Amino acid sequence: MTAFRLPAVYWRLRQTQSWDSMRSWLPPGLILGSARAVKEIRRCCDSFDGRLFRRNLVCIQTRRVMRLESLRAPDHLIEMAPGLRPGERFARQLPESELRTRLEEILGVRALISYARLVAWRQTGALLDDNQKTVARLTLETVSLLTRPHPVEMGVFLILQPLHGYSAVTRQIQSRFQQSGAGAPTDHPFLIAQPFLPVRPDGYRPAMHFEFQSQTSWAQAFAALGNHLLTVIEANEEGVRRDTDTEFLHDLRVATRRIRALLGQFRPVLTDARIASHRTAFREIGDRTNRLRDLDIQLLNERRYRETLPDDFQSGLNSFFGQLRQERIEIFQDVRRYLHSARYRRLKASWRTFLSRVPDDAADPLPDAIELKDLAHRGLKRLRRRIDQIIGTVGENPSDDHLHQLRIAFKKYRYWIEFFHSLWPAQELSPLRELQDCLGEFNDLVMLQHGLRTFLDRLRPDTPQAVNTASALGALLIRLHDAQNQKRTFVSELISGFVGTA
Amino acid sequence: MRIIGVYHIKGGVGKTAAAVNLAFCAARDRYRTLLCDLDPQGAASFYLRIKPPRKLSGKKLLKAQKTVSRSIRATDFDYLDLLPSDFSFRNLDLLLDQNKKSREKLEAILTPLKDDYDLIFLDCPPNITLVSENVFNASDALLIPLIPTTLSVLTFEKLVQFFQEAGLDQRKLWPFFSMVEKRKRLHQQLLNDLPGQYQQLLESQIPFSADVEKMGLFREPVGVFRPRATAAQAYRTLWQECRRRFGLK
Repeated sequence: MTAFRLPAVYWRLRQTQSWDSMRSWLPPGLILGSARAVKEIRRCCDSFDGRLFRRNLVCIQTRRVMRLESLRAPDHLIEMAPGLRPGERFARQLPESELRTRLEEILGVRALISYARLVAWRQTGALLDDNQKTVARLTLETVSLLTRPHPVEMGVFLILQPLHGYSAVTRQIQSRFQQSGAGAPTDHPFLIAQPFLPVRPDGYRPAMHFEFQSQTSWAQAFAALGNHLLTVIEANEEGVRRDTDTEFLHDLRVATRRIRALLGQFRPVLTDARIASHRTAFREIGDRTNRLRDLDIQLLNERRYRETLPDDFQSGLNSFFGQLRQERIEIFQDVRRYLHSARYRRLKASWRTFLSRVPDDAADPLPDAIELKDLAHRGLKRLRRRIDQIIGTVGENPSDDHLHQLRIAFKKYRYWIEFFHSLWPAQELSPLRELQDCLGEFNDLVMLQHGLRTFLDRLRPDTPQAVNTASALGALLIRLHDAQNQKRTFVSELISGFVGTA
Repeated sequence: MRIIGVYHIKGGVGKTAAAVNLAFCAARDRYRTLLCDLDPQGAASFYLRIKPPRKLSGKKLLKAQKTVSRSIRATDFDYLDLLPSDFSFRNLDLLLDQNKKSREKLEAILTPLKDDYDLIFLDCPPNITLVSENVFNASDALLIPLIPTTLSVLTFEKLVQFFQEAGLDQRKLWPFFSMVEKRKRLHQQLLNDLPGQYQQLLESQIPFSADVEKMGLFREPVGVFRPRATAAQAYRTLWQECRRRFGLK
């Protein structure tokens, strides 16, 4: 779809200008109407991992309207539509519009989180030709970034919004502005605000990007990885506590799993007792959050599951999903308490201390001159052997248990490749990701069926409503079972493809 | 993209006022809207204060797609653009006649705009000409302003007959009452009698109003300078009815 508006041109003025003084900057024959100064609070929103910013987009919510703007001309794009209401966080909650479609495409189930607030005193008026026809729109605004304890003045911006069919007059205006002291056009004001933002929208990077050299010692690598993963855990804690987006918990859990995988493969150089104690500690985080994650997945997919049933069956699922929501409230409180607990703090402190003393905690006697590359290769071989071992016992129709074991083995294998990707750049991760995604979806189907069966076992069909619920649950179980079998076949094919790889 | 022609064989029935006001209502609902002023009188362009570009002519319009996109002008209203008229459009019939597939030329010109606009309104000149036949082919619906008078109804029936003979889809014809004066007995009578005869007749009626005539004075849609006027409300209701009939969200 092409943008309906043309790219705006921005100037950051060196000194404050009044609206009336702008008239002297215009080419002859153009009239600038009067304009009232309006205060506008703008919340800049993005997903916690900066999905919009990474695509050069910024989503700005004012009191009533949400705008999506491109930060880089000429790929300008703007969508405007009624925005989120208080308490809403997801693109799917927006009224139906092009904006909603675009945001859903980019953000998926990620919440829109406000990471900066700007206050603008804005005057906007039309530039009219001798026919009193608008040929462009002009905005003069003074922008401040709302930070504590004092706001940061961003400056005065002049914004020219060209209109279709008036490019010649727009060029004249631009040229006059430049001659009159506006200077060269600047970036989008949001990009200028970047250095002042308390949180950068693209500041969070959970992905592993380590450039280890062959001469890097294993202790340096271990400490770097361990510290990065601890940073990821801590970066996500606040998001989990505030419950803004389920992905915070997901990333926190992935980081703890990665730590366990890391510890597991550093056995040759670390003491067994240390490894065991930290692995147990980080497993505890997993255990404490497992149920919350399962509930998140099931509730995020609620609409998808409902839509697999005929319309008149869908209401039968209300009590099941209602119970999940209720359970989530309780479990979430447990998780929040745990993240605030002294036990959790001690766990992290102990890990931090351990990382600072890594060479001292080495196994005794330390194998002579063990190199990182060698250690990494040995770990990779071991993990691959484990996968091959499981695949060897799997027939044409792998059981749920086999697939569960494979899912875990593949995760460890992939984490290990990600840790040391710089040592073997040829390793291709995308087939592994596809396999893992598929195994993950398989597991989600298993977990939901388990939940449905448990709910069904407790259900007493003594009211018409309970009978409706039982029918809907039964129908959904059949759908899920079919989907699970299809997925099983697909996974088997992917595994066959994987067996051939080195 | 939906194309809506606003057409009647007879002149002075409120075609241009309907096209301008309906396009404005659609734009207010954030549909990316283009209003094509095909009438050489250029009344729609006048209402929206837009002068035709110097290089625009009927000949160039039919010859090069680039001419269409370069001639489009933004109006003063968000989401509403206009393809202005030029006096040379009076020769469009002759020019179309020189083209192959002369009855489908307009459709071919508008199709490349499908990614840019959700709705295109065509403000058509009166009479049945080759331009009109192009409009019939290109449009998904033809809004027919019908003054509740014998002559207006008679010409509408001629149009229906033309559609029958030419094998065109009569479901495209969406008549609606325009310039209604309920104090007139003839209007009252036809308002009562006609709905039973025309299945596609829209329920909304546009009253005869001095506010609509004042569009020439203010050079804006009624909804801008008299947003609470009965006529402005009537156009909004008509637009909502069209929107529902199109199944637009």
